[in-house]
Amino acid sequence: MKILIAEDDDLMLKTLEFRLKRDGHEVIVTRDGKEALEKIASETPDLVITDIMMPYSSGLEIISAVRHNYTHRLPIIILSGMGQEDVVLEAFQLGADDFITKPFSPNELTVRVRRFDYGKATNS
Amino acid sequence: MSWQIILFDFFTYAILAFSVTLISCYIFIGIYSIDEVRNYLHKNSFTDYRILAASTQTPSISILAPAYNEGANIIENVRSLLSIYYNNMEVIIINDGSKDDSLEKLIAAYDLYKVDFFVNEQIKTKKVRGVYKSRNNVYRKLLVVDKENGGKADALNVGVNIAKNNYVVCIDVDCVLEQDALLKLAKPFLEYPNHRVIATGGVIRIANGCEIEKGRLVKVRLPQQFLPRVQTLEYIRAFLLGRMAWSRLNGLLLISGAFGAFDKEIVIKCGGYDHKTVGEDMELVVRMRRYMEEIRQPYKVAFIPDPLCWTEAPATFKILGRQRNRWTRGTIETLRLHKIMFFNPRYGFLGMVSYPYWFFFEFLAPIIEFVGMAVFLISCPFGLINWGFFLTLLAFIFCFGVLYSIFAILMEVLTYYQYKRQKDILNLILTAVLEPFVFHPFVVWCAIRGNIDFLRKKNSWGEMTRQGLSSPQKPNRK
Amino acid sequence: MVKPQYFILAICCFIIIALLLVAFILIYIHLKNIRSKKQQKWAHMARFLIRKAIFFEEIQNHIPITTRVQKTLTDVSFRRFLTEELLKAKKNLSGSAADNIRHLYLQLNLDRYALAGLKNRRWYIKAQSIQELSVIGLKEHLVKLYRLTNNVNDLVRMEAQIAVVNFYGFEGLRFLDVVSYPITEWQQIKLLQELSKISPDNFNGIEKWLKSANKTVVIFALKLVQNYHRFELHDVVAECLNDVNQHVKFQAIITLGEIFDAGTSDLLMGKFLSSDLKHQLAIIKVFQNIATEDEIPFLLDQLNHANVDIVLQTAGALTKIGPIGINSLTNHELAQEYPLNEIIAHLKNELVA
Repeated sequence: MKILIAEDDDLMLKTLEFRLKRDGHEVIVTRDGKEALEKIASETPDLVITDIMMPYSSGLEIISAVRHNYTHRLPIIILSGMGQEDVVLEAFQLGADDFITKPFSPNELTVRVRRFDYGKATNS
Repeated sequence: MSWQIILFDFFTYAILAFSVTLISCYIFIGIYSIDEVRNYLHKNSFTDYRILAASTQTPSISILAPAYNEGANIIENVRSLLSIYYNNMEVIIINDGSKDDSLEKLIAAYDLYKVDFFVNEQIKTKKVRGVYKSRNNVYRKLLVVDKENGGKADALNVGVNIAKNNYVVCIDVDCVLEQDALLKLAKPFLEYPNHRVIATGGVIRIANGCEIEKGRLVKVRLPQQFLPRVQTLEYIRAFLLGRMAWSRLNGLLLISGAFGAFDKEIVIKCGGYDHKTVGEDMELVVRMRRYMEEIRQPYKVAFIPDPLCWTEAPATFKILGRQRNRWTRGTIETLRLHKIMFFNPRYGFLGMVSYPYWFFFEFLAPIIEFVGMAVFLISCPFGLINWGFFLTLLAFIFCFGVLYSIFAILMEVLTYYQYKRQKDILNLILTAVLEPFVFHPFVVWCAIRGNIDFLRKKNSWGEMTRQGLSSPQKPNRK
Repeated sequence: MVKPQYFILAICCFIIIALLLVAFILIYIHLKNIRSKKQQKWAHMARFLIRKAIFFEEIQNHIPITTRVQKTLTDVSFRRFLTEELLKAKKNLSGSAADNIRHLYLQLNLDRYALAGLKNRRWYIKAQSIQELSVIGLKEHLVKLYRLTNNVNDLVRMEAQIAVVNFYGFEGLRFLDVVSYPITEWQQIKLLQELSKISPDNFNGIEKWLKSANKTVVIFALKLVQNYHRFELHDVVAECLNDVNQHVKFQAIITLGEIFDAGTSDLLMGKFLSSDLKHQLAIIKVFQNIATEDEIPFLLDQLNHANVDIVLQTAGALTKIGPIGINSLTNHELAQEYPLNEIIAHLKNELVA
């Protein structure tokens, strides 16, 4: 799968990239909301993993922008430290497909990502 | 000994005494401030503000942003306000009877519709024409209020009436806020169990020359034009070396009108912003402090040294002149309205130290300086001048001023380090040397004009035209 | 006449100091720039090492560390930098990845420095060390940390309190028995945040805290009751309504709203007239969540209240009760007059939205 990650913490970004690449995915890294939206438009990823608190645009804005602008259902996973109930609810209301709270386990992330890998496994 | 010489000597000694007192105060405040900034920075280094961002227990905040003829920028500015990380907040834009199409632009951009809204008129204001909310759930925190033109104070009062939360944050709509500005501003309200924090202020930084995109600060740069640059220096001195000390002594009289948080209940109990004065931001803080002193409840006005808000400074002498003129009139009006506190022990530190300091060193200082110069000029033809003494006195004050500025620059480098190039620092130092020749006399002159205008009872804001924040000096926008 | 010589002396001093300061600034910036470049290299090294550790599979063995890293570890600043990165990573990760980070931290003997920091005179070093031990999860130092929960410095105190709660959850709250300094609201938020990460087993001690002499402890205990819905403590909380301290009373009202039983409404109505405006508003707001048709007469009474805020909130409470409440509101004698007419229009709007 082609996965786009939006995360402003450098170490986390590299960790996610490393792990997902090891799992066999193609990874696009972005460090803020603006870059993420640009790359979503230009690179058409199959899955987006985004944090909430980032410069320029919050992850929630990314969800609503994507849901607003694209007709096909691009899966979005939120990966954030803001695990409070109303934030989670809002994320799902805006159209997120999954919400992983930090601290998270990279092993768990792998499994959750695999859920969205339908139909592509035969091509890789 | 002729009477002229005696008079002149007395005069010279008086000015000397005044200057020495002023300089001593500056030194004391400077040192006291730095200690407090260091304390704050240490505390900050392991504070995780993100906890506050998501928590439901945080102080509920209503952001009030009065808008008048802001034009096309308003869409982006509102968007950046809405994207601030804070759980418990609403954003209220008050359209103060703009003559342009700001309101229409907002309605279109944010899918607004007019609602039946009950405005609890706790403070008397001009008429509210309508309240608008968005049909789009993403913008549910936004409220736009349309009202008859009444000035900034009146618009803010409308905002206070409408705000549903416990704290109001008053900002200029084109201020560029840092991401965690609200978190940092809200924290002092939670930190003093024995005092009521009635207001919190932050540091205003000069945005001229900085790269700003979509309402967010991308890169900090020293302004290329002289006037904004010298104001940058001025702000560094005032905020880093001044306000922290006053805050620590609980004597802070002024919270910037561009960005400050207030306890709504106290604002309403005091009657809101006074629309009859042009210095409504300072006047409200003084009135709120006075109220708390009078009801004898322990309170605090807090200050955050972090740069939280970036705003455009006047770049021409004309607009700078209007601004300083207004500040002077505001200071005089505030001092006059609350003159009962002058050396009045009933008002504690506020009456015995803060108010007198403001009176002597903020209000009187430019006048004394001007009168001193005038006397000097008049005495020239009479041959009364002891040139040796006079020139050394002037050099003494000049060197101290430059030294103080350099000290401020040093503090800035040691703490927030916003300007990282040696070239920039040298530029700032050069500006410090030029300031007494170019900037300072102009400011003093504006203060005198302000006094005269006050006596003539002028009472207006003047049209503040803005260059627009998104365009830096050189054409290198992204 | 003051001799000009003194001035000239002072001027010379000023100039010399100014030049020294300028030199200092320029050198400082230069050094900082050099340091910044070094830090970029460090960042690369540190992050590579940490990433390797995170995905390290062989738990029993040593994580391989290059000689270059070993050498750089002797530099205090690099050690600090690496520690900060480790802490950041540990905060973000859980499971085996987190265990590996802890493994690396201990392997590099970084705990030695944290423990030394606990004894440091400077409060910020102490507090930083406490946070470090807490994040990494070195529970064996609990006793040392517990002693610091009532330290004279407020930040040391706060970090120690968070640490013991992090280690022992609700059991860690035992410091509430003895803490003599006030617990600020900010600290209360942080503690509640820390507690929200673990599952709430039935913990004891709240009753004692509700009667503490330290009023902030009482308030915090009330928040605990509220968050964890400890219905059995209803009567003890009700007693707090009589407390002299206004903040305690206020919090008690809010808490009762979350643990209400059949008698709560009557209790609050009984207290209403003797309360000041702020508490009256709080009571009405609680009614917005718990009022039933039985409370309608009381609420209708309050529509005549002098304070418009109370009227607004009361009207809100009536609408929340349901159709009967709404009808009684719209049929009230003042419903056609200001301010009630506008309030009703406003509320109708909110119901639709």
